Amino acid sequence: MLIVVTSISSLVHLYSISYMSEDPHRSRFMCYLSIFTFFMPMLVTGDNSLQLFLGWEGVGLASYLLIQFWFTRLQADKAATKAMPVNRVGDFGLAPGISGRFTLFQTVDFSTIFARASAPRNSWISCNMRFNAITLICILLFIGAVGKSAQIGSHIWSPDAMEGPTPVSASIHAATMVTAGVFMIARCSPLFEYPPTALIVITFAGATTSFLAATTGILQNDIKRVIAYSTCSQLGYMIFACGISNYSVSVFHLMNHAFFKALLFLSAGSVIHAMSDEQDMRKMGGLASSFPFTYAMMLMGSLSLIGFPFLTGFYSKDVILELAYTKYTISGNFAFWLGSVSVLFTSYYSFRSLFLTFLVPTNSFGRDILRCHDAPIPMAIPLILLALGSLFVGYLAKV
Amino acid sequence: MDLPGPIHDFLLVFLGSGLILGGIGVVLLPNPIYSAFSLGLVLVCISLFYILLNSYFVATAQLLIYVGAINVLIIFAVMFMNGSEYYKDFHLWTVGSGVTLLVCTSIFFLLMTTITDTSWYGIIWTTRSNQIIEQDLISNSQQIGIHLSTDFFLPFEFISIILLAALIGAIAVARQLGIDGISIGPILLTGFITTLATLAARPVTRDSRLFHFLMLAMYSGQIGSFSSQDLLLFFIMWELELIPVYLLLSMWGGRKRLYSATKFILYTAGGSVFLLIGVLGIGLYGSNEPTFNFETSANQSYPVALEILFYIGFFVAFAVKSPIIPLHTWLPDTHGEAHYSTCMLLAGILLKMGAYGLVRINMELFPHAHSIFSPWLIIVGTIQIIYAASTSPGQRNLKKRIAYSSVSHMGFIIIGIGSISDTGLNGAILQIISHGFIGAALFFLAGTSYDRIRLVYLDEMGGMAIAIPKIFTTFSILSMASLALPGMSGFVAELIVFFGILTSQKFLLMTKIVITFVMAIGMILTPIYSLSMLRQMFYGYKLFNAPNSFFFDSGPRELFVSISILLPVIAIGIYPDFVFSLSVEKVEAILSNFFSDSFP
Repeated sequence: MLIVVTSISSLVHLYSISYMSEDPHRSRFMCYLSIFTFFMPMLVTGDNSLQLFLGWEGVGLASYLLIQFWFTRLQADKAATKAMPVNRVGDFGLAPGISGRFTLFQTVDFSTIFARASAPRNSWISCNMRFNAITLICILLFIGAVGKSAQIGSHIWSPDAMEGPTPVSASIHAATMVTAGVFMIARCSPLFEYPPTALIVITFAGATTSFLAATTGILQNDIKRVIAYSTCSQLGYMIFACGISNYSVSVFHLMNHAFFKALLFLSAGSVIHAMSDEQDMRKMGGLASSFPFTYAMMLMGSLSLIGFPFLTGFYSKDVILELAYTKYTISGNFAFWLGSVSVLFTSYYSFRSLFLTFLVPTNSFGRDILRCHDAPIPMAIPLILLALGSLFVGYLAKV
Repeated sequence: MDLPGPIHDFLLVFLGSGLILGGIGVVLLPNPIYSAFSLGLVLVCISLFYILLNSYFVATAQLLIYVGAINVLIIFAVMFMNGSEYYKDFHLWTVGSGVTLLVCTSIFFLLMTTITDTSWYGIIWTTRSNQIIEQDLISNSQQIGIHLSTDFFLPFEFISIILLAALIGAIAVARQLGIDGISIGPILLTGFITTLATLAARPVTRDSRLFHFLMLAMYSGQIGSFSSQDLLLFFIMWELELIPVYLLLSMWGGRKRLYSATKFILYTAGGSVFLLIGVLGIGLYGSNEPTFNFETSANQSYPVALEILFYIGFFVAFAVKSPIIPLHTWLPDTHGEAHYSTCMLLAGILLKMGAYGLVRINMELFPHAHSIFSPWLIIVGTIQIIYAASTSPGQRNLKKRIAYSSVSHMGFIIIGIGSISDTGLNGAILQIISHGFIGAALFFLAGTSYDRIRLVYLDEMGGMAIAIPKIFTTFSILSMASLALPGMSGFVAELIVFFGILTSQKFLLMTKIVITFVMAIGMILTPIYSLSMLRQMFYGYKLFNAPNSFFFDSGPRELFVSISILLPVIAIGIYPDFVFSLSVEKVEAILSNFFSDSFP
């Protein structure tokens, strides 16, 4: 996980040197990116829930600051003010979850909690149903993950978070911060194995998210929003992979997804930057001849996203779907069918965005086309590295 | 002192010149405060001279009596008088000045000739019978003691009687002061915040001497109430706060200042009636001789019904001050209308006096009643968090919004006090200190923004971040501290209060779970008003009619105040043991009362 976080963050830093080179506040941007790069490893390397919570809130703070980086734009302020409380709604689940674990186990240290978590012992009976404490705690933790990973119910902040600059979207909302929820579930996996009810909830929620986000993504016109909904959908995959108790596959998909999604965002950013900050796809078109390099990068990213055989996405997405198919429970079957339909929609919107941006006859203003230039070197190097990752990491890292 | 020659001479010349300059300053400086401080300089130089001449006792006496008592009284009187116009007339030369000059010059020359003409070594200071004793003495103090009890016995007795009368009077008023683990935190906080508040108020353009006098009076009242070990002294110090706040509010406040000041006085004085009844009741209970000492009152056990009565009485007074809903309505008016330096003191320290009183008196003296009332305290605290956090987004006035956030944060302290667990009480004390810092800092920044923009209503502001980036940055950081971002002290305090409720042995699991959930709702509500306040003030883009000469960013003084508050907040957030190491033992001592074997 640290490999993912640090490599994506370093590539994004490099990219944003060139992307933000004309912005008068670029030093503040770099400060905010560094705040994020501080808190995310703190979240990942924490050996107790308190440090994880510190990192959790810290990356929420960093995302708030970065979304409203251009704070004179009211849409950005509204998006940021929406993001932080929605994250806090997630924390409404996470903090009582941590407190619940503290009550049950009298500690916040992970290794102690996992050692002491045994079969359900504290429970109470009401309405003729038996509620286990461990179920409640896991559901609360999952609510925290929902808030952070933009699952159904708290997904509203993710598309609006595209108000931030593109490097922000790449690093925070594609590769690292939104995966913090998945990471937390995977980290606490010994705990999640005990309540089957919680796992069923997680599977249903993840599958529903992937389906709903994919269906919303096919109708978006803003290129970054398409990719944002695609992120939501892929996170749904990861969550339901956790729900069917395959945590390592989920983290594997997390790693692969980080690479190709960051690639997609950064190349979209290159396009936007070149088209004088035009983000509407209906106003682009025919750019394949103007930006062959960016087109190639985006094509590679999209192919990897839809799970084209033997590229990165294939090794994790296909495995997830196979595992869902072979898990003969209601939730497993539900997840399989919804996941398969999402694959259909994923390829639809990926190629729709490719066509509209690069391949249809030109729809954009003349002055944009005349002034456009392909990605300069500091923006190209991260793209190349991420493309290599999207192509080969799946094969190299599969077990 | 046996110093080598050149150093001795240098010090002599240095002190002498300081003394002469100070003396000239006392006489010639136009501002009476400056001359009072020069008098202090003169007296300190004299005592240093005495040290040079090996007379340590006289030097100490000089410092203690002259500087510590007499000079302080002079400064007190000068500050209180506030006659700022008188010194402009000092340059007129009158007949009286000429006569005085003549007399002083002649006395000077007389002294010069007399001192140099007297042969000091020829005078024998001791009588025959004392010379044997004196050969064994080595220190000055012993020699002075011998002389006082033999040669100067009658004057010594006379002076002793006068001194004794003065001391009895002083003791009757000053009684007992003492600090322990709970009070040391608030006392340090008081010193810190008062210094910063006075620095924040510079320059005071109108009645500055009275302003500083009132600040110092509040300072002494606060430290007195935190450090008193005596119920009557506590009550006196509590009351000492009222008049300075009234004056500070009514002379330097906003548009509705008289209304707010009157409201404050009526609420707080009304609560203090209950406080006085409680104090007198405890002191006069059950014994022939009244005793107001905390220790003896704490060790005495009262019948439960009486405890409940006293508890309610004290509780009303502390509920007004704390504040606890529904007696909190004085706070938004007072904080909304006061000048920001007063707000810093009010939000930072005065509210904490109420919470401190709850711990000190209600928990220590009435443990049975406290454990009966503690569920109610927790419920009220929880409701307070949510109620105040919900009321705050509805305020148009910036300072009222921050005032309601103060009320909300005090709810955590109430919960921690009611939880009867040492984690909870430690968390409450940490929240006292943490919110003292954060509340003071927020009011300071709100006040400095108001100084720039002269608007109080949030919907008229907007887009200030470009013009005042430093204030924007510190305001954002402190708003994050207020909404309990981890890494800052607010988070640690709230978390420890959470854990305190959960580890409390007194409540059932279901109630604990419900309370935890309701507190977590408060966690969601807090960012809503903080962030929307930030957004309305700083983001967006707006052209202002404010005259540009006021609209510059914060200078070194304001940065110093903000950073001085920010550093402890972050330090406590990262290492809360700074505060916990002070309070842990006393908290254990208080709570052992609740869990002893004889407790029902």
